[in-house]
Amino acid sequence: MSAGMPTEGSPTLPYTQGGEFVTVGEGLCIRRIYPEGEDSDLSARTMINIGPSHPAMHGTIRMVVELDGETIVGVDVIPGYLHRGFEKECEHHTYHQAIPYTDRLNYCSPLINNFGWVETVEKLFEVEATRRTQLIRTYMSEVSRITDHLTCLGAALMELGALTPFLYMIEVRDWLWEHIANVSGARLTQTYARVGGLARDVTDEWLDRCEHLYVEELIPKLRDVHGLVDHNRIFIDRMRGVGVISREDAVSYGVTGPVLRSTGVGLDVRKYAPYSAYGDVSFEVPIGKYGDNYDRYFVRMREMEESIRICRQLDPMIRATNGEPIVVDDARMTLPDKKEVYSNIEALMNHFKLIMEGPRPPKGEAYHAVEGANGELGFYLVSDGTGLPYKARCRPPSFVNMGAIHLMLLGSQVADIVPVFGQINMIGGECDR
Amino acid sequence: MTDFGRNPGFRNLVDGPVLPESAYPGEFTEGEIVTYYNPEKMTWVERMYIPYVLSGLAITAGRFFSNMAQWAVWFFAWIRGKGAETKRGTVTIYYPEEQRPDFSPVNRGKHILTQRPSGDPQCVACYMCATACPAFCIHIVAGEHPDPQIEKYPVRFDIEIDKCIFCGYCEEACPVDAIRLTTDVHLVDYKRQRMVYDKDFLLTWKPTVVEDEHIYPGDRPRED
Ligand code: SF4
Ligand code: SF4
Repeated sequence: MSAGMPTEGSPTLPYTQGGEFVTVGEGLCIRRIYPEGEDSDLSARTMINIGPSHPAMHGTIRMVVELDGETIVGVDVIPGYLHRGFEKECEHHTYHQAIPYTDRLNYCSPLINNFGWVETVEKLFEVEATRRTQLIRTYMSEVSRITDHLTCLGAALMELGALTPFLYMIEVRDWLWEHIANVSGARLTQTYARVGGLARDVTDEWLDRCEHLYVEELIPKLRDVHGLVDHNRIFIDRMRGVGVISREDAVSYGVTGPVLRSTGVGLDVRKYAPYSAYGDVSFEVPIGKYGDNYDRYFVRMREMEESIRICRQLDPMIRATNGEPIVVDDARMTLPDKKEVYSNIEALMNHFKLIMEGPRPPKGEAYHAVEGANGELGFYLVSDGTGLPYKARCRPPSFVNMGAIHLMLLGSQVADIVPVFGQINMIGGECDR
Repeated sequence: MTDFGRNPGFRNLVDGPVLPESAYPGEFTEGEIVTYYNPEKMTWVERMYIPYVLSGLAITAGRFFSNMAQWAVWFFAWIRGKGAETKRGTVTIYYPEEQRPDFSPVNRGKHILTQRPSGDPQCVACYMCATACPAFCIHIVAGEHPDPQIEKYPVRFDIEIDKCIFCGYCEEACPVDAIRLTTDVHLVDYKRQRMVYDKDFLLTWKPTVVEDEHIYPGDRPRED
């Protein structure tokens, strides 16, 4: 048994109300809860392992579930199969070189991670991105949020047997990804943000086509998906009242994002700490009522509609700032223009210094959170004045959300594991970092 | 406490702090939080199951027929030689004969080394790309060039393309525009050893037109 795990017969830990920890195998300890009015007849219980390579456990995670008949009486989640040492690796790479790593955190919406990282570094530098950059970042974050929700809902619906919505949603996601690649240069590992700006500027034609994709592809497909599943009895029976988490539990476990909002708590980083240009656009924060799967589905669907609304408000603003710089005019972090580099020795030296040492923020620490598609995605950085972060820490929303999955599952049926897990939308890259 | 009457199997196991109703929504202006449709009970139409299955069937059938109609429109346009401009109903792309129409023109793919007019690489072996590379997959061995104007050139220039993450930092870091990423994504091989691209392979790119601004400044006649 590893060091941090509670040992057998320690039922008084502060978070163990209701149930006790029982060692069930080598290094494995699960919390067991006895349903009311039943004795603890252990011979009637079954232990099953789901994952780590189960097709429904997207993102490689293992769950040990204890069953009493079909009822779940114990859940243990074992993450870490996709651990890549993101935080430690960042300490060996410059702030600039760490941007590609952040792509691989939540690989359904890499741009939000990109922007979260560079905005944290900008906070260390105490600089603010230019207006156009902020507008484009906001726009791109919303496109990313749409692609993330499309992936999550498409996969979750497919696991319930609804293959058509999956095909519709993934088709739209594919158009949007390729469209993002038209400006960022890659479909998934976009590496589009730079400390102090962006890698490439967007054009009016790009915005036109994005709007075209919304009107021609996304909105009709969303309408179709609503029509296909919203009132379908199979869907309702599998989603309504399944995976319920109470508002109090969600808050005390630090759950964020659509899972928290489905319980009726309207907590959204975009609202309570507006970053980039979120302060300038008006949008609604959809919340649910009961905290069940059906609410989570609806919160995500509504969020996509709100994302379209945000994009439509930003569209004229971006066009109005055409031609403005997309990088801050600050030699500490912005690579000089290539024309300068080819002809001017100061610019060349600046270029060399920035590549070799990286942007060097002043000593200090900063925490910045953005609203990722799954919840609050935060980066905490400590700078010691060199080009490498002294310490980097990422607050992954999926990891925290997975910490509360037992509350959603205890008392449910085995078949509810997959829809609940799908609606939490755990992304391995982000959960395990 | 919230009422969880709809899930009989569920018991609220942690009696956490009860939030005052206004704790979080207080941050929002009027009408900015919306509660969406999730009624307590199914309507009788939903209960009957068949009507909504049929309406779902109507949606998929509608998609099918509109796709077919669009395909027919495209087909007649294609006969008249206007296939490329017309939208085809389905998204199927006959790869590799066909490339998707929205394929990114700035896609980051296979690397190339640009050349001087003489055919030598423009690279001056300054190691900037190797320093900037987050995957540490560029390996350079520098040597002295007989031409005193050029001074330094790469004797070896290897990119481990299987390690490369196609971030484009090398392109951005190069001070003489010697390395570029093309849109080519067909980087497959059966042997791991062949996934190391050497200088000769990277130099096979032959531009038909040498754009002026891409020529290394040292190659232009001096104006002194
Ligand atoms: S694209 Fe990125 S990973 Fe690939 S060689 Fe260039 S710097 Fe290295
Ligand atoms: S940065 Fe450019 S010039 Fe320098 S070694 Fe790399 S390819 Fe050659």
